[in-house]
Amino acid sequence: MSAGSVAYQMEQRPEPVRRAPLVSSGLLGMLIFIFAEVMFFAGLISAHTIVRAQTAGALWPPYGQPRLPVEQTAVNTAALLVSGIVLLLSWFAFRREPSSARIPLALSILLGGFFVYAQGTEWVALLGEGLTMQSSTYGGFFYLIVGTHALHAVGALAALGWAWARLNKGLLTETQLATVAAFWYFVVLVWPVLYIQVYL
Amino acid sequence: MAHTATAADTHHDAHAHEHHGPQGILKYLWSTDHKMIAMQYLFTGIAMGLIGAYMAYVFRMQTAFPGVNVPGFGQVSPGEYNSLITNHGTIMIFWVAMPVLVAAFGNFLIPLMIGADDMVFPRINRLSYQVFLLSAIVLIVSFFVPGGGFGGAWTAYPPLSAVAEYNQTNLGSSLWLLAVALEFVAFLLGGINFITTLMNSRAPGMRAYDIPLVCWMIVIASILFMLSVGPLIAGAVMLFFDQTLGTGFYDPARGGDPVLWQHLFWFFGHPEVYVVLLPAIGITIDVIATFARKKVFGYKLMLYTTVATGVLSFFVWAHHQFIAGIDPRMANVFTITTLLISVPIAELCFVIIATLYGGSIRLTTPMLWALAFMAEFLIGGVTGIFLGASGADIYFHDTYFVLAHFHYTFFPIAIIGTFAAFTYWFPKMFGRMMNDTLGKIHFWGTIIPFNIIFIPLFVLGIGGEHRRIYNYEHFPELAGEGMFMLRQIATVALLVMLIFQVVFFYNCYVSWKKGEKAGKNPWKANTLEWTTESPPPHGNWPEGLPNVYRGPYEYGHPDRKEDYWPQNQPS
Amino acid sequence: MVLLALAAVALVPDAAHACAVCFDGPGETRQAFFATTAFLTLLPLGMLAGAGAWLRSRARRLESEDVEKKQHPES
Repeated sequence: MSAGSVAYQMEQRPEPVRRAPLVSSGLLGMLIFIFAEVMFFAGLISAHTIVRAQTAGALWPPYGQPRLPVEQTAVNTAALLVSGIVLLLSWFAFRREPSSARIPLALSILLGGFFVYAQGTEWVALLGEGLTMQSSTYGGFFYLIVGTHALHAVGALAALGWAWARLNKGLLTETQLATVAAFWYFVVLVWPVLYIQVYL
Repeated sequence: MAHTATAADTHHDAHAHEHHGPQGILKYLWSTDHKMIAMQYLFTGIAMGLIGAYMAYVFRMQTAFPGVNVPGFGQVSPGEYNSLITNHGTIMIFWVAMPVLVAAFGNFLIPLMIGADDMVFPRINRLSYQVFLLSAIVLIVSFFVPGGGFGGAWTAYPPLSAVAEYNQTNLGSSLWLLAVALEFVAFLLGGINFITTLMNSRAPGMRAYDIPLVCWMIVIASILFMLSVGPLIAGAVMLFFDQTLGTGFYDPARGGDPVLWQHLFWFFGHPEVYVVLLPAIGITIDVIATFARKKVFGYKLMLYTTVATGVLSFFVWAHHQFIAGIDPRMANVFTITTLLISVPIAELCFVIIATLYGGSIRLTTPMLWALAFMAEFLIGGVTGIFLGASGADIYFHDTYFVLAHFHYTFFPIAIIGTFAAFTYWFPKMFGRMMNDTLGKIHFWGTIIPFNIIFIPLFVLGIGGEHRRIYNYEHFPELAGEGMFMLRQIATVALLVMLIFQVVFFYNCYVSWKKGEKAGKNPWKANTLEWTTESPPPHGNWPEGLPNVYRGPYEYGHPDRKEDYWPQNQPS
Repeated sequence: MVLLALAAVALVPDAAHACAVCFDGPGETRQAFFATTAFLTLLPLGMLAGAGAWLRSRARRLESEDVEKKQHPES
């Protein structure tokens, strides 16, 4: 032990220099936050799985509750996924020439906005058909899971809008775009999982 | 050279901004300096700790002397009793252990120990404390709303916590839950800061294995917290909706499942034990290395063991549901994992013992606290083996044995660990030495009564005494004279321990005002925080951030005249 | 360790269901609890492992870029 430790000290170290961070602080912080968010949605999915198993497959959706609009939501899902791809394109455009990212970034925000709007109209229709948070755990989980995702989507869209405004002023940095985009990718990629879990 | 660094430059904006900020008391609330935020967390945590101790005093009086008119409170009603025990647990874990061990010492130590001028996100750090303060205020408000504070135990199992007709505290339970949720948000923000700072702001030359173990431990604890808190937040949102909107997530009559909450709660709840344990172990090992004047035995072993503990801590949570009706096969798996996790913890204990072996030990007050941490925590760990075995747990579940067990773990963590850290870094925080004699009086006045409080509770638990009972006179087989005598011994010991805390506060005040000046490095320690002024000025090292040339525990090196070798000395 | 735990599961006979404190729901619920337990436990570890691997590969790449720069300072 002691011999080993002495050898370790004798080792010649290079003169200390400040290293560039492995991952920029903003992106790293966002990634840690996304990890926590993934676990949050994992908790919701687990809860949903257990309660769904409890009521036995045949009774899901429970008697008297409306069926969820699977097809219409599939269209919304596609819009959201395309938004994610467009954002990826805007990222590559930004790396080439920052100002060229304006249009794809705006398009991505619009597609995301369409998703939130379409989900909102779907909610209004379902509420009219008698599906509420109190009517059954089926409805409760639907509004809980889709609602928390919608909240995240709105937050992420606001962040993308902020990035777009900064881009127009020529102030947006690569780290800022990466940070904001990482959160939008999270919102986009978690949705198909939720869609399969809740709708199908 | 350090001033050319980009990371340092971005911080200066935030600092420059701060000097033009609000004045007076707002200056403290709106400070972005990591040391100021650490002090805010520390003092808020101590204040909440006093509230939690007062609650313990009131309900212990009721338990030992049923129906007594408690001085300073009056008669305790059953509802108040439930509310007191619930909030005592909640406060001690979420508003004392977490803010003091993780947030206060994390904020104070991480930038100073890794040679950074501040956290990576100073304003997120400030927001973290503000949200935390708000959560503390919401919790305190919940005691005084109509119906009183929440009384469904700190674990808040539904349906008791979900249905107002059962718990009788409609508003109190919602506010309690809201306060806990806000508190989690605060620590999410803080944890992001700790991890990012450790990754990106280290001093030039500081490699992964040059980071003091206490920083590693706090960061690993933060990672555990980040990864485990999500499901509980999900569960808490569902519980909140059950309480306020009338959903039925946990109501079996409407297709919900009450056991679901237990899973979501303990998925966080058990890693949470390690979230507060790891910083305490880190503090202990740093204090012990300094006062044993010896290199930590097996730095890498210690680090990897900690990681193993963190990994295993995700595999143990269902041991809290052994009698909640889970599948016995699952109970078996969790018995095995629960017993397994004692292996890395035992390894940490052996590392500490091996570090002590052959050292030239100085029994200062912080060293006494650190040694007491090991000794007392060991009792907590060993009694945990009984509870981890699912068969034995069927008997022990919800008795005072469980209660004594987790107080033997949490008290060393939250109180002894905090005192070790506080007395060790007091010179750095306030620039003056603490009075050693008063410190030792306080130490013995806390440790001896602590054991006299909780050893009788083990005996009572084996005797079948159930937890959370308002008046044991209503249970003939638990109301024997011998059992009441044990309860009274514990309560009297608690009073003695609380009285001795006065010595601590007196010592703090006297030392803060008139203590001997500490100088930069009163303990002759190696880590970077001892290379700057005490207390550290704004920006920590105004003359330039330090460089690092070696590991943090080079004590008693044979080639050197002095027995310590600070990390920032080139040779 | 996981293997050990799995082995323990396999060894336990169904007869253990005679236990007095086990009032679990129907088989489907039990399975759901099993599945979600495994899911929730393994997910954070998987994410950690993924993040660790990514950081490590990134560190290696940055290091090799550094070396290249030193070898060809003009590029």
